[in-house]
Amino acid sequence: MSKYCMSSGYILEAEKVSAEYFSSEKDIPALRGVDISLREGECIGIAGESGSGKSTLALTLLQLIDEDEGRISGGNIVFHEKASGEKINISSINKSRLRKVRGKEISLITQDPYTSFNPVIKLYRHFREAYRVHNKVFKERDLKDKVSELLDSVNLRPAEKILNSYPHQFSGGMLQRASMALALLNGPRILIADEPTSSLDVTIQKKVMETLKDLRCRYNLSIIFISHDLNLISEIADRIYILYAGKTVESGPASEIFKNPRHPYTEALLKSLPKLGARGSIISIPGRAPQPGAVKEGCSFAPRCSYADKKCFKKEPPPVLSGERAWACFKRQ
Amino acid sequence: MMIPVLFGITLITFFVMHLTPGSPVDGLMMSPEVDAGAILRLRETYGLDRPLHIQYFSWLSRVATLNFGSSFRDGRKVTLKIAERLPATILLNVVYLFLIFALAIPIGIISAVKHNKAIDKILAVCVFAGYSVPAFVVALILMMYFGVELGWLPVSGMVSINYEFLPFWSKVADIASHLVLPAVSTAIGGLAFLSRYLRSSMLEVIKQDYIKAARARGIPEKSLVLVHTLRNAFIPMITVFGLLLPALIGGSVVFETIFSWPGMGRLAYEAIMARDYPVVMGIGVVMAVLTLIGNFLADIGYAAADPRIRYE
Amino acid sequence: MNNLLKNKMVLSGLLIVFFFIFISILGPHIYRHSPVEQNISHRLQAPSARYIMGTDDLGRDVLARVIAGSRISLSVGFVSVGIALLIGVPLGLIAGFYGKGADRVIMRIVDIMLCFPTIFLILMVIAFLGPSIYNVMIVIGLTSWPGLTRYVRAETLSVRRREYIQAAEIMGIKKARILFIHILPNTIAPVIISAALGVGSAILAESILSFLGLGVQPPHPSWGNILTLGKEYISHNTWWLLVFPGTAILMTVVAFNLIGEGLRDVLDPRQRKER
Repeated sequence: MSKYCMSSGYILEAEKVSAEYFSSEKDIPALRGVDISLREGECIGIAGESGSGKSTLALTLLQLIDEDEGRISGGNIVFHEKASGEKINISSINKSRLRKVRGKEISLITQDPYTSFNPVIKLYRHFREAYRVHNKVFKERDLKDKVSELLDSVNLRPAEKILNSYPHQFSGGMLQRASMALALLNGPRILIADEPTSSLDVTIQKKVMETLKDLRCRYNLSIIFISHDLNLISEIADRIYILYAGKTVESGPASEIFKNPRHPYTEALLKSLPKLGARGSIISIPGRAPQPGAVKEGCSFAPRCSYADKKCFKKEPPPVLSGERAWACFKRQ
Repeated sequence: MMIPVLFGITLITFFVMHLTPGSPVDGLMMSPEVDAGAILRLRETYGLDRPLHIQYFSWLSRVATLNFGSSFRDGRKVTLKIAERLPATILLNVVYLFLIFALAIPIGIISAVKHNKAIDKILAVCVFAGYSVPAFVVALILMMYFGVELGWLPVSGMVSINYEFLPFWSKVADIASHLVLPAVSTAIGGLAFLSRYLRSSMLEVIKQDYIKAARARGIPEKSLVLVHTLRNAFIPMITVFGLLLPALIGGSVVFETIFSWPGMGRLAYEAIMARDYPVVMGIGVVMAVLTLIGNFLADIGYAAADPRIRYE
Repeated sequence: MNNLLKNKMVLSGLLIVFFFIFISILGPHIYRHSPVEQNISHRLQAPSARYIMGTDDLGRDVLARVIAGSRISLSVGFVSVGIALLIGVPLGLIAGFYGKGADRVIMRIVDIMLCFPTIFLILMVIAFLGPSIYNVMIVIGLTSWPGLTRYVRAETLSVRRREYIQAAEIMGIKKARILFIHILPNTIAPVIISAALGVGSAILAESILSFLGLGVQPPHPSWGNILTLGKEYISHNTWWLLVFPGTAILMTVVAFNLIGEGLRDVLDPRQRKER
């Protein structure tokens, strides 16, 4: 699936990232040591059920977890800056440098476009504000040209009318495309797309995915695509990380994982996918995804796993490495 | 909304007046301040022998043409009496509103931004004290300390005795010095209410995803607070302004009386104490109208501030 | 209940209220000075060992008057809130439960009442009915129910939409029974909160009325009419006529606000999250 322009240089590496949320009794871990890496021009997919920590991962990469709500408790996130070749450790830089990364190097689009725009401000002001943060001096003309070009590339026309409207005047699909244009305004190299289509109708999902693929090629973006929907991920991702209860249970090239899943959870996920034209019932995974924080000893998937035995409940399985692939299961060594 | 409310308020005012045991006139006869002519005039204007509902509607039709009749005490037109007192009330309330908004906004912002930090907790205690403290007692104590003990500020009226002979700027300074105590003591309750409201409103907005999204675009915290959060948090404050008005107007009765402020509130108190019915009822209607105008302005402001309302 | 007692605000509020209740009942038996006995030769005395809170213009003992005033203030607070509850709760239940015309009429009345400057209305009624402590209680009660009705209605509406209520309705259980057995208990939290806050504001309203000469009439003592004298003799620097009754009002209002706010923290989950 890696038919896009790819080079092997890493652009983002995160290792042993942990994060937790506060609650009245104790801190609830949402990420428990996740490693991910992203190459220049690559698209990685992050899959998992709700509560697996995938959205927390998106927030953590940009250090966006509210101080009141939780904290990032460990790990390193290293971003390779292109111009200087310098490595920036996002998890330890100061706030003003962090602001230069946010939106300028790494952008984020979220699930519900209506909540990512300020409802009382017109679209143009959103663009202008975001542009001004990263370009101290600029000509209004240049900004207008740039925004028009971006809107054009996400198929929103005419720019003048779009920019003069308030967020609530758009349909969800249009606004999500506008939010992509906004995310790309300062020419970021990485785009984090957190469930970008799950609040949209299926037909509109398709369009948004097309736009995303198109943008990826046009702007040579590296993309972190987060979704609960493996079908969507398979459309765009080169490599996949499967998250379960705040940990990566399996990772590797998309094609290989789809062909030959190793971890029982991945296997179950793939079996539960509805296939076009296939007969028979959808096989669901027995049990429920664990509540964050309710994870006990041993493999967190063990309670729902049909292969699990005593050992699985006692010890946490270490990752098994094989080429580009990795998985964490005692039963599949 | 406006018409039934106005209707209801005139109804309440009218029937409260008729709650008096016997007719309003009986009460008056015993009052030495009222002369026989006034009682006759009253019988005439109110048609007191006719059934209640007819009295009400004939009164209402006169009210519609701003004819509230004349005062029992000095026979002057009620509209005129109110009109000459209104500017003082409006001056006091404008200063009051300016004061509470000018102070509540920074207090609200600081306590929301420093949520749960020491300064927020200190401000929360102050705010709690602010709306628990009986403002009229504070007014009396300020009056005694700054007016009597220190002699810094005048304690009653709006102007000094020699006001007429002062040059223009001294006149302004004179009124300003008379304004300090009434304005400050009235402001305590409103200030506490408003800053608390703004704080919780800002905390609500700060939690919104669009603030997080803006942060993800690299927008600095300062503009997050001042542009995005404050603007959105301010929208519900406009409605609060509408809610604040009745309390404000009611409060003016108490505070204008304490400080002998020559406004409508004190006129209301004097009229109530003297059973000057036409004046009382006239003020009741004017207060209701002022409240409604305030609410109407708040609605317009709301629509102006929130495009989602405007385009519906 | 444990939560309630753990909440420092509720606890300290309750302590203050119990203190004042204690004083209003037992105070006159412990501090055996008459609140109405005049002693002209001792008039306007500053606090001393003999007169702990000083004396007023007729040489009456201010401490004795403050103690006697606490009984007035507390009874006005409780009785008028009682009246407001008797009116406000049923109206809120009816508006929320039956909806339609009843709701529209009741809420329109509430809107009108909320638009009206309450203190002006109270003054007007008292001026026409004549000043007396009973009139004060009744009038404060009659003017302070609309806020309560709003809360109860909102709560009733939200409970009504819950599935178990709808299930009960489908099963044919009588409406009145649903209203009393299922809905009324759910409205208790907001009712208690606004009742506690209401007692505080009723006490404040009474003191304002008495201060303006429309409440408790001298020689009967009340916190408000001690303040009237304080204002009258303000040029004599009679600070004790302001500070002591003022503090008494402050403390009771603070106490009931503490109880109300504390209860809101414990009982109302929407507000609790914020803290």
